[in-house]
Amino acid sequence: MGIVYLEDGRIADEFVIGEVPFTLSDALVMQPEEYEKLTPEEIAAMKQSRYDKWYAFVTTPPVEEVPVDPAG
Amino acid sequence: MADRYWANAVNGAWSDVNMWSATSGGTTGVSAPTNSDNAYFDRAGTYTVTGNATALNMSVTAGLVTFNLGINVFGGTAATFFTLGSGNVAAFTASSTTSFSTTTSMTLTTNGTALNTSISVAFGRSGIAGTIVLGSSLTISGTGVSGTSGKAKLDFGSLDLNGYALSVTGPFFINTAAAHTLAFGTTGSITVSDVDANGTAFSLTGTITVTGTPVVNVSYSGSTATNVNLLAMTEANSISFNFTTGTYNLTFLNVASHTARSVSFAGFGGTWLGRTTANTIYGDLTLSAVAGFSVGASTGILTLGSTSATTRVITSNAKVYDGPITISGTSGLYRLADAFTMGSTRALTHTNGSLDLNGKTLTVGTTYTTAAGTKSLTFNGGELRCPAATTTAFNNAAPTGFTTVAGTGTGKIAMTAATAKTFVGGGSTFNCNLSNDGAGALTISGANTFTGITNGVQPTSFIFPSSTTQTLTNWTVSGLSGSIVTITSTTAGTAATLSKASGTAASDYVSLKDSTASGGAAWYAGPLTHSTNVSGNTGWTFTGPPISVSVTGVAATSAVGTPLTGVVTPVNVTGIASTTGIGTTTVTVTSNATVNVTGGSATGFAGSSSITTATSVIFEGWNRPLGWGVGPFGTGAATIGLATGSVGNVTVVVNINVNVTGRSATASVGSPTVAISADAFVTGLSSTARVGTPTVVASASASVTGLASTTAVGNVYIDYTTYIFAVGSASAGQVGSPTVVVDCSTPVVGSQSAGYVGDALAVVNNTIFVVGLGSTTSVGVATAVVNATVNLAGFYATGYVGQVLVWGQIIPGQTPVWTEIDPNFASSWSEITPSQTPVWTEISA
Repeated sequence: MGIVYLEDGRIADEFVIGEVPFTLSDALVMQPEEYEKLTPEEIAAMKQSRYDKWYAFVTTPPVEEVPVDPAG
Repeated sequence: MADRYWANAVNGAWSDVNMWSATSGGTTGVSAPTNSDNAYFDRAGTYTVTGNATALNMSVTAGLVTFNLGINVFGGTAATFFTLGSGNVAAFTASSTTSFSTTTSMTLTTNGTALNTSISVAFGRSGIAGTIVLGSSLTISGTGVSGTSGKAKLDFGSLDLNGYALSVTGPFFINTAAAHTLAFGTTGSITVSDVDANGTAFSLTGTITVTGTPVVNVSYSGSTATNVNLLAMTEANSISFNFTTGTYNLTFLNVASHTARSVSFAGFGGTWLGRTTANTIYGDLTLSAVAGFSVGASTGILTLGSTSATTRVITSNAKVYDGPITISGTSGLYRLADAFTMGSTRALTHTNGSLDLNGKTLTVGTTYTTAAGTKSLTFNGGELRCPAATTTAFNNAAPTGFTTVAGTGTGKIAMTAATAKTFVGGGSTFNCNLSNDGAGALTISGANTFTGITNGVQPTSFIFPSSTTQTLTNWTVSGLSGSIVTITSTTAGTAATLSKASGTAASDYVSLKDSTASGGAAWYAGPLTHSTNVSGNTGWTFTGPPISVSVTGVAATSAVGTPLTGVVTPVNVTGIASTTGIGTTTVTVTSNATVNVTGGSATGFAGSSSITTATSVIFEGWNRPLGWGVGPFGTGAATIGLATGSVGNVTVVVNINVNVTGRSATASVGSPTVAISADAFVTGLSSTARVGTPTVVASASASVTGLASTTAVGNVYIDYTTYIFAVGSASAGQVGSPTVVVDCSTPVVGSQSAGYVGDALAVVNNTIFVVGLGSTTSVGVATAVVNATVNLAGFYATGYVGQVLVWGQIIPGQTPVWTEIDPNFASSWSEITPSQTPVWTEISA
């Protein structure tokens, strides 16, 4: 884990967060100049936010779509 | 064709014959230029031209001209240029349309002057369909947006951006069904920043050939619902789109078979409306990090269809892609830049090409399914998360041509449904772990091969296929007290086979039924006080595995483990290339067990565990990421870290062998304490810091070895009958200062050491060797109190070799004594010469 530079010039701050079985391997991907503006606290908050949203998503039961009746 | 010159630097109308001359600076009164004539503005001065303009070719090469025009038609048959000289045009404004056309190739050079038009600028006219080539970047500005046909439009023929940027404060259209070529060059782009009355920002029609590296930027910052109309194009012809701003609802790729190359929504804060049609993106896909961005629920399949050898990157920016995806580009390469999550009702179909999880989490919806084709799934430590509670949650329906690649680290396919789900393996080899990470029973089909099978939750269940073999390298399936893992087969009474070639496969708190354990490994199910032998099991031993203890820090820069063992048992704690602490293992074992805590190239703390009974725990931290969780047996946390301090402290209470190894460690390597009847080994290979201080209380052997160490190698303190080696081979620092109280042999050896080699203190009845082979500094001080044999040897040493202090029964009354080494003897040590003052010798290598 750490910061890697992508071929297109962006950086990826790779991180793993959470406990088994809800570990998320993710990365903050952005332009270097954007990343440099962030404080460590902001970066940590972004990572936590991403995890929280992902956790909420994967722990929410799927809602089956109701097929649309073409005849109305 | 005639030439016409704006004769004088005065204001005038284009149609005024009194403004024009046939030669530069010539007599006025000739006809105004038509679309067969060339118009030249080459007079110094500042002036304004008005009216409707018409010319075949036109150039402005002098003065400062303001064009305040109406309807303008430039070009015609064989037109070749339209040039606004740099700094020669104050403004170019048209109240109506402006067109450029040629039957051959016409270069349009504006040198930074925007063509400000209230309606549109058109390229090509009916029957005059050559190529308009940009000679500089072109800006088409103006507040008005022309009806529904584009503010900039390619009506006929071709447009060659020639590597320049075309910027339009309105939509760009290709309007006619004729054949067009839209050439971008290597750096050309089209940027549109407004929409027409229909909300269209970009629209294509006809048969279009696209060349170069095509990029269209949609920088519309408004909120009006916006359309981008494309075509069904080949991979080579498809255009890349960047949606850079705005908060609108976007209709994009929602006509069947329409395609794009790379698509980026970076900066876009609106909604990519749900799609109902099948479409293809051939390049990168970047969703927006802007909070307001979302992808509408889509039923249309989005195919990632690259066939390029260039890796295409998928970036979600934490947004959910709520639509089905098919990866199907022959030989294409796709890689995740970050975690990617699909809508929970959406399927991922893998038909062709390679998908590299790149260490990230890919959460699919209903299924990950393979289809007929050549496809590869690369993990690089990533996780494919299949959350559906279905019989096709992971469905290798087309195993032919399906491969998996481990890459760096160990990846995982996580089956996370809380109710029953199925892993359809298809008989493939999965170079990853299969983990049941949900409480629901996991049914496995096919005769598959795995790197490992494990479980992330307890309780849960595995149902293996009867009469079928799962081959694996690692088996880490276990429950907890009160939360057992149930292992059965698909057909009651017919066993399923697990095969592991070597080593130990250990479970605990499991209920086993119809399971054949085979392959050569030793299979332990845990003691019957924990696990249940239901029926039909063979090859399993219902005990915990044996335990061993060792602590190893290879290239570790910090602490590698602190195992504490209470009984006869081995424990392994290994930190290789670690930079933080590798584990704290406390083992209180009542019978055989195995505890391994390994941090190889680990990047985080490699865990701690507390083991209270006969069991087996294996923590492996080879290139594993952080957050390595609770061990399968026992309590506590096991994570990985890069050690930066000492490597291991081992406390052994009784009857145990202890190994503490620091390989290339940069800090001290271990201080084992052996209370009784044990052997202690402390080894520092290429270590840069002190290697160990074992303390042996009684009846033990202690070895302190520093190979190529750069600092001191160990101090050994042995309190009772024992045997001590302190060896510093090629060490750069001090090699040991053993202190032997009684009845010991104490060799201190510094081979090719660059530092001081040892002091030995033998209190009584000891044999002491202090040997410096090829050492470059001093070799040893030996102190023998009584009844001792002392040898000092300086082989090829370049520094002084030793002092011997003999405190008893060598030559009474002469203390201290020391010796001079004869440099002509390559391998010798000298007799002790009484009554000499301290001497030492320089040894030539």
